[in-house]
Amino acid sequence: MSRSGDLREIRCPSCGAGVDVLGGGRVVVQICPYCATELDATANFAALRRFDGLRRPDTPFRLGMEGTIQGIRQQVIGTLGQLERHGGRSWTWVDHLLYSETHGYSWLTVEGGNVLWSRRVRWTLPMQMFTTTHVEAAENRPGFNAEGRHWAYFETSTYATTYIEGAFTWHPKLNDAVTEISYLSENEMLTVEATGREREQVLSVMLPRAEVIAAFGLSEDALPPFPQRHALAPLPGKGNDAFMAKTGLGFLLATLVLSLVLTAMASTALPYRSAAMADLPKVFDIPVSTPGRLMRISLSADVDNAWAAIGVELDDPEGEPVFEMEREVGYYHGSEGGESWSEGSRNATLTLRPDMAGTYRLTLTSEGGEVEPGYYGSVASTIGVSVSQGQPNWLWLLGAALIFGGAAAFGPARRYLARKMRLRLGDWSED
Amino acid sequence: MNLFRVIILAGSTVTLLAAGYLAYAGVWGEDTDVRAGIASIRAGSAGNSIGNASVK
Repeated sequence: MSRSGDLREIRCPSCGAGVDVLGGGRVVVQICPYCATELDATANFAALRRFDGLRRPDTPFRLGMEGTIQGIRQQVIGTLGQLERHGGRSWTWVDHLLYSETHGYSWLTVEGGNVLWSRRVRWTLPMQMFTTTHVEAAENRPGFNAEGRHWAYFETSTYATTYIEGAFTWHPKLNDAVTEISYLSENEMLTVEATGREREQVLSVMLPRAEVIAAFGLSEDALPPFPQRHALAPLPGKGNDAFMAKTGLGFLLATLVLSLVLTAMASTALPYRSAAMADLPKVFDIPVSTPGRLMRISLSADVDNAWAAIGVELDDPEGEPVFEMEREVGYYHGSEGGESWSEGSRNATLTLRPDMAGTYRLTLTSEGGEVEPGYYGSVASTIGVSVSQGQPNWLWLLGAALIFGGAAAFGPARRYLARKMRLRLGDWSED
Repeated sequence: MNLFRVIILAGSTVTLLAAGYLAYAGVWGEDTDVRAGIASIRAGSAGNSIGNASVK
């Protein structure tokens, strides 16, 4: 038996108050908001029982209020106050049953100042994931892929109804424990009752505060401006993060291209030359064509468990001394405890900035060298030298690359951390 | 395009151009001991400072 579709108001047989008839044809009971008497909507609203001592929870929504959620006109037809206790703590929230003439029934939940909208879905899910035995036996956080998203286990919640008013499509019970298991995707929560026969699948999303206030005509202070943290709160920086990532990667690529261009602009002023140590001092002419830019003198010596000091003297095209310095190369190796080791280098460099074009004169001299006492080796017999000019200072490009790389990674890193933090609001523990 | 994006684009462009110029010009790319050696030669010093004892 179903009730008449034309009925708009009834008189409560228990307290005599006028009660709006809410909801569609599937409503089976109506709880009088004045006296909390359960009326049978399928039998001329006969009184079934009365809930005593109910205390209305704090919620800005009242029975009969209407609003448009995601383009669907909805009416508040029922209110359930819910309470969860665990580990000496308690959590409360309010579920409102909504009715849409075109889309049927859904839920509006007020929790910690946040407003969630939930609707039933009928998806093909791995239902074993929604059992407490599976969750409790899992060594890692349970998760699965469905409907094109990854779902990560969030929490198991056991709660009871503490307040009832309005119209319902089932017979709600007070203080009956219900256990639900929830999984999170990017911005949705999928909840299935862990027990019971129907195992209804409910998909929840968070509604923006301003959208809810506008949709239901609430006052600005009806919902707190800074609600409690909630797992379905939007992840940060969705708008600009993609832009930052693209910009960072684009400029990183531009930096790489610029590095290649600057590398191509460098040239060899003196190709590799070698000379016997016995022939030193040796003079090399260096034609410099890029004054004001970096010139690098590269030296090498074939030392083996030994060091060699090489004197380096440079005169400018006018014959004036630029500098006279010394570079030492030393290379040592051996094995200890079955493991080979080496230290030092057979190469050394000098980097300077010549201030005029023309032919510079480089003079190399031997300033000594010897085998490390106690080691088998040999002093240098040959040295090598080469000179490049127009060299860039890579550190500036490396710095720019780090900045651009950081900008590109910032958004994804922030969202990754936000996802991690959000999952920590649930009850999963790795212990 | 909002102001934030304009600022990011402009800042990135300036950063790239500045890094490119500073790299090209080799700013702060000289060896410090070589720079000190050149400075002391120009000043007529016999060296004896900042690790360039062999500068004559």
